[in-house]
Amino acid sequence: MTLPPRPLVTKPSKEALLMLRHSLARLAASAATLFAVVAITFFLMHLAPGGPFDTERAIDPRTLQHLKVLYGLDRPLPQQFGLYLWGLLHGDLGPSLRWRDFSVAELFARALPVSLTLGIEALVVALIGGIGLGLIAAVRRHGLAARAVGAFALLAIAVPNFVIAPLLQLVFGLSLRALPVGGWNEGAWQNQVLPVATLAVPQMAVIARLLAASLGDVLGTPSIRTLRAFGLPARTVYAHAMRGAFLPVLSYLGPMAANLLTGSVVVETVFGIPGIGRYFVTAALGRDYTLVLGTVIIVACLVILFNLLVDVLYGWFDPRVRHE
Amino acid sequence: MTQMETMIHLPADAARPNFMKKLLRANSAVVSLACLGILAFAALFGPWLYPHPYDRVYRDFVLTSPSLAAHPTKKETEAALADFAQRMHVVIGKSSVRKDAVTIELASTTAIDERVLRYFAHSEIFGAAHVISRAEDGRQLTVAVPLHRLVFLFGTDTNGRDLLARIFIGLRISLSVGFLAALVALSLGVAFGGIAGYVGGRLDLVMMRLVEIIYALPFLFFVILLTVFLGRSFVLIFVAIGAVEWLDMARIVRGQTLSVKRRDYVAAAEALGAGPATIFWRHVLPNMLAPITAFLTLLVPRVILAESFVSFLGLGVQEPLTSLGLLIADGARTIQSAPFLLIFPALVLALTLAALNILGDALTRAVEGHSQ
Repeated sequence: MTLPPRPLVTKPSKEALLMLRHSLARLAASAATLFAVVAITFFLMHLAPGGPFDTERAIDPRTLQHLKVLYGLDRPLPQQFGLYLWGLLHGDLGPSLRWRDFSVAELFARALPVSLTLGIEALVVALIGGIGLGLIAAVRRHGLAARAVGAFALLAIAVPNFVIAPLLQLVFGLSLRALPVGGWNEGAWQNQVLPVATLAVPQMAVIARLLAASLGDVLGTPSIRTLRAFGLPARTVYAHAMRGAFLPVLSYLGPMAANLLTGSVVVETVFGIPGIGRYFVTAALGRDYTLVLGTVIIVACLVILFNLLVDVLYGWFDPRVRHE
Repeated sequence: MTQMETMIHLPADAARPNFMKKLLRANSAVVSLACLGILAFAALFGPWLYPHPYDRVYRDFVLTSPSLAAHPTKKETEAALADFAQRMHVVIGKSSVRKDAVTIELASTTAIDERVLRYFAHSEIFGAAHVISRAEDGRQLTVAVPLHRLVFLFGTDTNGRDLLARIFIGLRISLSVGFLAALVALSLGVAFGGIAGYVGGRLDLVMMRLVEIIYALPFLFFVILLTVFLGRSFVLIFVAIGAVEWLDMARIVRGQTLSVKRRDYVAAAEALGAGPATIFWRHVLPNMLAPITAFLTLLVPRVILAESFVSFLGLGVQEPLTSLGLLIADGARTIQSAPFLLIFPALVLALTLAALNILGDALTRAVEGHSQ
């Protein structure tokens, strides 16, 4: 008896097809969200009173007209929007209206690495510290450690970063003279310590609190009790519990990561760091349309990207989500 | 119908005292409630009861350190007297500083014009002087000058304004922005989430899509834009923040609506011919009050924090009004010379946020325990 010939290309399983379809749908939805964000920002920004060329003294109307023609601001708004989108599709974020002779891309090329460096470092520190503290608090649930973590978390919520940052400057910069008060100094590590601490410590507290609470819940479930009853070593039990307990942390991690990576306005202002966070306020107040749009696009992209990433990781951590 | 409604609501009503009891059993909740009571009292009545107005500038007392002792001190009085003597072209002879008045002997080579004594009345330290005795054809005067005793409990800021008075008014602004913005977020969230959840279907899909889009917009950008559009006034700040912070509320209300609308009593009300608005208002909304309240308590500190953040960046209320965030921003600028200007407002803000968060957590736990 002969076997039927095997197909040359293995047919993808139904599950994989579904996954693919789901991912494509998510991607399309993300693109739509991004488009909506760009559109909303563009029109709100242009409809806001004032313009990018407003100065203290009234500008000569002929000069103003000239500037407007130069930057294409004299055209009808829908046409401007179309042109902007067309540029965007070609990877062109346009020229900055306030920082003359700089394109938005050039400004970002300098500022983004700075914000990303600080953000990634803060993210790593917050994750490691937060998971460590959360684990300690969950393992010694009624002990001193749990209380300490609880107090730490409360403190981090109650003392916002615009208080922490100047206090750190006062203690480590002005009193102890151990670290520079501010500045970037080409990314010397001494200049990064205080900003990273300001960014990381509050997030560390939130992660610790979330993890301690959910780990506490998971450790009480029958499945973990069963593992314990089988006499598995504590390490194995905790490893199993962690997988379920990490989900709330994961969903918090998405927006948090996006926030950290796009630079905190407060941290960059207080420490005088040339990242993209501080462009934000000045650009919006100065009606630097293209720079604001560029910043919003970066933030939105990161938010969308991290939400997607979290969704994928969610499926990996929790099989129930995958099969839905 | 009425009888049926009472029957429907009975279990929830009966359980309410139990719920309160559970909440009050949590010590932390009671403590934070008491804290909030004190803070609210300070915000409401502090500016009335406290002697210094928040916008009064004491030019003679710039950056005084916090202390219980009254100003001017003996040293400050003498320095001020020396300054006055120079301006009045007189020489100060003997002076005796008592607790609430100074007696001074003034001497000059020519007759002293008594009108120069007005200098005293114009200052913040002294009151109107009156002459006790004249000698040598008016070339020597003995005057008694009352002293104003001023206490700056928390010190004064760089403009010479009392910090505690400013903290009171800042707390008032921060708390009212907090509650009003939370109210705006509540109404928007309940309306939006309620409609999306109750109507469902395609509308729900579109509305939640919209929420997702706004989520992707940076918060700060929204607030800046709104302040640009609406100007920088007190009302518009809480509207702007409320307009940004309603998203989570909408999600929670939608979720709750979805679960409540499948209950039998909703079906019963529908069968009795109640319209969707009535059903939502009378049957759905009351049944999700607990989670909404719990979330609202957590929303208020978030809004206060947002307002402080916006004020810190200089986009919030304008001088001479102030908020805790603005006070902290000012304090951060003088951190080396006068750290107390940062520390006191920061402490008050921290206390407010901590108390609200503890209360919110306790409420959430009580709600969760209740629903189980």
